[in-house]
Amino acid sequence: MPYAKPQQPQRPQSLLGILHLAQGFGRYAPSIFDARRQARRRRFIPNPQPRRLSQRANLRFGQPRVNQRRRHVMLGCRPLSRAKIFAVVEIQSVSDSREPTFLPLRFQRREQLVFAMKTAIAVIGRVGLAVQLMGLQNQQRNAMLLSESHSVAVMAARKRCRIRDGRQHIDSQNLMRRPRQVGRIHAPGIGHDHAAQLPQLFFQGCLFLLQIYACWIHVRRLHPHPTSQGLSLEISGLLLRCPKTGHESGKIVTMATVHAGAILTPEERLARRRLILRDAFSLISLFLITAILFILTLLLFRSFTNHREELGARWKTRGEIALHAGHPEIAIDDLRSALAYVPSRDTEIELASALADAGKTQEATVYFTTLWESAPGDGTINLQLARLAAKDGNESQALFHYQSALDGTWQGNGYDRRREVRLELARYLIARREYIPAHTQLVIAAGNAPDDPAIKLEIAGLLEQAAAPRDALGLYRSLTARADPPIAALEGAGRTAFALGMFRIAAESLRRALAAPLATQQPDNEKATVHEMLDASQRILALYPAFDLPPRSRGERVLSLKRIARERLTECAGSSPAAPPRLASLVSRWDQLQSGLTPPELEQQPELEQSITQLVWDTETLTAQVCGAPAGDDALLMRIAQNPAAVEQE
Amino acid sequence: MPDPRIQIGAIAPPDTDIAGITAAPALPTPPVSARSGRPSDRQARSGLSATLDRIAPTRDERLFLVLSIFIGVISGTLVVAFRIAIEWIRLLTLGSAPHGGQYRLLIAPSVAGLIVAALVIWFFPAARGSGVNQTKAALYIYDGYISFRTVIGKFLTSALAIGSGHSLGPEDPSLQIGAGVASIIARNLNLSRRRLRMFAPIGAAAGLAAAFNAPISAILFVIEEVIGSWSAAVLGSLVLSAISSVVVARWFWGPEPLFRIPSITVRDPRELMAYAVLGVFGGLLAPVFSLILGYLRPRLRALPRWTLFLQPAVAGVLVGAIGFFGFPQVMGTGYDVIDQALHGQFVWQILLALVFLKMLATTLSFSSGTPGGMFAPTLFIGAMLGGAVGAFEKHFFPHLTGTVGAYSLVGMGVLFAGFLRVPLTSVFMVLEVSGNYSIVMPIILANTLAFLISRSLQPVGIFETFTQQDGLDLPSMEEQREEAVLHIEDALQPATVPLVTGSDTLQRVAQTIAETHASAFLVRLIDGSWYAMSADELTSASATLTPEAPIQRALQPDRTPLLFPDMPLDSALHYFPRWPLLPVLNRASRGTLEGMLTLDDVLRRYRGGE
Repeated sequence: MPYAKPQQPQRPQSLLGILHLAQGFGRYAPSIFDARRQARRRRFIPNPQPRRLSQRANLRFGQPRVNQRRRHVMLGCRPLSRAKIFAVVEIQSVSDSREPTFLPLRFQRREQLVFAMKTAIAVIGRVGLAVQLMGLQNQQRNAMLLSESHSVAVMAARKRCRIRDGRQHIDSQNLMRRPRQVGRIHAPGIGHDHAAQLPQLFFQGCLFLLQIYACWIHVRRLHPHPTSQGLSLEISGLLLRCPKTGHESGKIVTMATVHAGAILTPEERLARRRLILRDAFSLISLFLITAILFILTLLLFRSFTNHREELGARWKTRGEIALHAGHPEIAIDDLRSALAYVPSRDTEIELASALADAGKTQEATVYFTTLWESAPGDGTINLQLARLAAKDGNESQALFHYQSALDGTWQGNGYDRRREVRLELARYLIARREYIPAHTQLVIAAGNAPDDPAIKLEIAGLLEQAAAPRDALGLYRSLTARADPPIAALEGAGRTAFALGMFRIAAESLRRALAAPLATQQPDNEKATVHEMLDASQRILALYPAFDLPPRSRGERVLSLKRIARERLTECAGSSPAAPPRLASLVSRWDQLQSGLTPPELEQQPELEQSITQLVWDTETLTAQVCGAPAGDDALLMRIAQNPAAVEQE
Repeated sequence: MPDPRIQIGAIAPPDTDIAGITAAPALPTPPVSARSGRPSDRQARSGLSATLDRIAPTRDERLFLVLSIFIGVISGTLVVAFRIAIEWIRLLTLGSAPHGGQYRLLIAPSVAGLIVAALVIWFFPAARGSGVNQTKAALYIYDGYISFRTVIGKFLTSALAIGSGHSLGPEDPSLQIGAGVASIIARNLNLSRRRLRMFAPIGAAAGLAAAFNAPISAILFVIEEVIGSWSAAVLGSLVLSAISSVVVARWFWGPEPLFRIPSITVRDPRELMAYAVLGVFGGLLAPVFSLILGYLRPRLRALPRWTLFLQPAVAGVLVGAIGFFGFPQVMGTGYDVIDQALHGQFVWQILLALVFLKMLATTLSFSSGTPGGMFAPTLFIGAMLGGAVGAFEKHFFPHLTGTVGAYSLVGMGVLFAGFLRVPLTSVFMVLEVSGNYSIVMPIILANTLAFLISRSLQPVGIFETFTQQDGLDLPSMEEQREEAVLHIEDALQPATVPLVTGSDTLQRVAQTIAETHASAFLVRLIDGSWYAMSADELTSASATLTPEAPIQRALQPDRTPLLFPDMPLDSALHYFPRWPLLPVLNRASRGTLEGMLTLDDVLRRYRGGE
C-alpha cells in the first residue's frame, strides 16, 4: 500500500462541508466484495417499477434487501471482460424468463441520469474537498494515483465485452475474484505548504477529468445485445476511498450507470457525443454572448445615466434661478424638464412651489398632496400645503398643515424653521382676527426666541397686532433695557404703553426714541406720530394728579380737572335735547359737589379729592358716550379715565 | 380578391423579399413558410428531429427551462438597450426639453421617417408594424421563425422612429425583439419543431415584461393574445423568462414602476359609479380609434409603391406639426406626460385635446408603416381620457374623494381593455404599474365595461383588423375564447348496456348478453373501477376459462378511464380505439354511473346533432 494513512484533515467548513456530505455514498469495502459474489449467484425477478429519482444508490451489497431493491431488467449486452476497472461493485443478472420485460427506456434513462448526477456531485465534492486540504506530500501521492488511474483506464479501454454461448453471462470472473479498487483519490491532509496549492489543484483537476474519461470509456465500450432478456450491467463505478472527517472507512461510491436502454449504433453514439459537445458549446457561447451584451448595455446605460444627470442638474439650476428671480412660469418648465431626467424629491418640491407661486394652486396642491402622502411628516411639504390651503380659504386644512409643519421634520436648523412657521401661522390667525390663538402662538414663539432684537421686535409687533399690547410692551421693554436699544423698540414701547394708558412709560420711551441717534432717519410721519404721542403723554402727565405730587399741587390739578370736566358736561348737556336725561345722574352728582373749593380745602379732604377725580373720569366717559369723542384735554382725560391707575405705572 | 399591393410590407415571411401574396406581374414568387416551408427543409428537420429523439430523447425538455432563463436575460438586456437608444435619439433629435415653436420638431420626425422607410423597404421588410401580429404570424405560420435580421431591423427602425418623435410605443417592438431572440436561440440549438414554436411566445413575454417592468402583465398578455392557452410547461417557461427579463431590467432601471403613481384610495363605494362612467367613455372611444386606424391604414398601403418611401416622412411632418403648434406632448412615447397627468397637472380641456391629438398622431404614424407599437399610445390616450373625465366629474361632484390622477390611472386600463381587447392583462397591468391594490375594484369595473361596450360596437379587435388587412389568417384569441366548448355531457347517453359486477360468472354474463343482444357491456369492479367489454372479448375469454369463473378473471389489467360530464368532449376521443364504450361517472360518487359515451355519440355531437 503506497498510501499512508493521511493525517487528520481539518473539518471542512460551510460549503465544502456540504460538498463533503454530498459525497456520502460510501459503504464498507468488505461487504462490497461479498455482495458481489452473492449478486453473481443470485437470479432475480425483474421489477419493471421504476426507481424513484430521489432514492439513493444503496450499495450495501451484503444485505439481501439491497439486492431486492436493486432489480433491473437486464438487456443483453456484452459485459466487460477482464476489466480491471475501477471497481465493479454490483452486477446483477436475471434469470431467463419467457416474457422478457423491458424497463421503459425512460426509466432507464432516468436512472442513468440519477447516477450520472450522483457521480458528478460526488466527484465534485471530492475535488472540492481536496482543494481545501493542501499538502505537498499529497501532491506526490496523487501523482501516483494519477498514473495508476490512467493505466487502469487504458487497460479497461482495451477490453471488450463478450457474450458466450448466448447466455447472459458476464465474463468478469477475474474481476469478481480479484476485486480491485483503484482510482482512489486520497484527500490530502492538512498541509502547511501553501505553495503547493496550485499544483494540488492541477492534479485534482486532472483526476477529476480522468474519472469522467474513464466512465465515458466504459459507456462506449458496452454494446448491449439486441436480444431480449437483457443484461444490464451496472458499473458501480469509482470507489473512492478517502478519509471522511478523520474516518478512514468512508467510501464514496459514485456510480456511472451504463445503460443500455437505448440501443444505439456506433454512429448514433458518435452523434450523441457530438450533440452533447455541441450543446455545451452552444450554452457556453450563449453565456458569453449574454455577458458581452450585458457589459455593452451596462456601458451604454452608464453613459446615458451620466448624461441624464447632467441634463437634470442643468435644468434644475435654471429652474431655481428662474424661481428665485420671480419667474415661476419659466421655472415650472425648467423644473419639469429636470424631473424628467433626474426625479428627486427636492425638485418636486421646487416644482410644486413654482406652481404655487405661479398661481396654479390646484396643480400645486395635487403635487404637494402627492408628496405629503409619501412623507406626511415633512415640514416643508406641510407648510406649502398650509399656504395653499390658506390661499384657498380652507382654514381647517391650513391650520392642520401649519400644525403638522410645526411638528414635522425640517432640514437644517429646525428651531428657526419652526419659529418662522409659528410666526407665519400667527400672521394668518391675525389676518383672520383670531387673536387668542395667535396670541398663544406668539407667546410660545417669544418664549423660544433667541436673544435676537430683530426676532423679538417681530414678535412684539405681531403681539401688538394680536391685541396683546401688554405682552408686546413687555417684549419691547426687554429690548429698551439694553444699552443701545433699537429705535423700533423704543417706539414700540412708547406706543404700546400709550395704548395701555401707561403714560409715564410711554413718555419716557417716546422721549428716548426721539433722542435716539437714528431718529432723524425715521420717516416724517412716523416722527410726527411719535411727537404727538409724546405730547399727549406729557400733557396727560401734566394733568394727572399724581400721588407723588405735593398735596397742594395735587389739589390744584384736581380742581383743574374738575373745571375741565364741568365744562365738558355743560357743553354736552346743551348739545342735544337727548343729552340731559342721560346725564341727569351725572348732573346731580355735580350739583351735590361743593362749589368753590380751593386747594387747601382739598388738601384737608382726601376723600373729596378722590370723589372729584372719579367724578371727572365718569364725566368724561359718559359725555364721550353721549356726545361723541372728546377733543383736547377732554380727550386726554378720557384716556386717563380708561385706566387711571396705569398712568404712572413703571 | 385582395389587392396584392396591400400585402407589400405586410408581415413578411422571414428572409424573403417583400412581395404580395397574390400573384401579380413582376412580383417575385409567393413566399413560402420560412425555413420550415419547403418540403426539403421539412424533411430535413423531420429527419433531424427523429435522430435527436433517438439519441437524446430528453434533450429538449432539459434545455427548455435553461434556455428560458437565457432568453429572459438576453431579452431584458436588449430591451434596456432599446429604451436607451430611444432616449438617446430623442435627446439628439428633439433636444432635452422640446416645446412648441421649435422647428426641429418638424424636421426630426420627417427625416427619420425617410430613413426608416428606406431601411424597412430595402433591408428589414419584416420590421414593419407593431410586432404583436408579426410574432403571432411567426408562431402560427412560420413555426416560430423570426430572423436575426428582423430583430436588428426592428431594433434600429423602431428606436429611430420613436426617438425622433413618431407617436408610437416601444413595447410591441420589445415583444417582437424578445420573440426573435428566442427564435434565434432555439434554432441554433436545433430544437424540435414543437419546441421552436413554443419559444417565440416565451421570448415575447420576456421582451414585454422588460418593457413594462411588469412580469405578470406580460405573461397574461402573451397567454391572452398570442398563444391563447397555456400548459404547465409553457407557463413555467413564460414565468422564468419574464422574471429573468424583469430582474435584468430592474437591475438597470431600479425597482420603481414605470410611472410614479400617487397613492389612491377609494373610500366610498358610490365612487365606483364615477369610474363606471369612465369605463363607458372608454368603451365608446376605443371603437372610434379602431375605426380610424382601420380606415386609414389600408388606404395608405393601397397607394403606389413609391409613396411608401414618403409616407413615414409625411406622417412625421404632420405629427411634428402638432407638436410645433403647441402640443409636443403627443410626440414620442409620452411617458412623462402620462406621469404629469397622473399627478393632475393638466386641466381637463388640455387633457381632452391631448386625447384626440394623440389619436390622430398615432393613426398617422402607425398607418404610414412606421415601425412601432400601440401600447404606449393606448396608455397615453387612456390616461388623458381618464383625467379629463375625472376632472369633469370632480367639477360637478366635488365630494368625490378620488383624485384626477386616480381617474387617469383607471383610464389607462380602460383603453387597454377596450382597444386592445385584453381585459385580464389590463387589470393586472394597472395594478403592477401602480402598486396600489385599492384601485382594483374601479379598475375591474371600468375595464370590464369598456371591454364589453367596445366589443359590442366593434366585434373585430384591432389586432384581427390588422391581420385581415395584411392578408393573413391568424387565430383570434378573442374568438377562441368565445367558442363554445363541447363537454362530455353534451354527448352523454343513458347507460343502456348491461351492467355486471366482477363477481358475476361468465355463464351468467353470457346469458345476459345473449338476452339483451348487446355488443358490449360494462363491468363494475369491487374497487369502484369499471371495465367496458365487448361481446367478442367475452367470447374469447370464455374459451379459456370455466363458465363458473368470475368475469373479472377475464379482464385485461387496464381499466376504463375516469370520465366526468364536465370534461371536454375531445378528451374522450383517444380512448375509443381501446374501448367500445366509455362509462361516465359522477364526481361526487365515483361509483355512480352518469351515463355512457360511444364514438358514434361523440361524432354525432360534433356534426351538430343533439
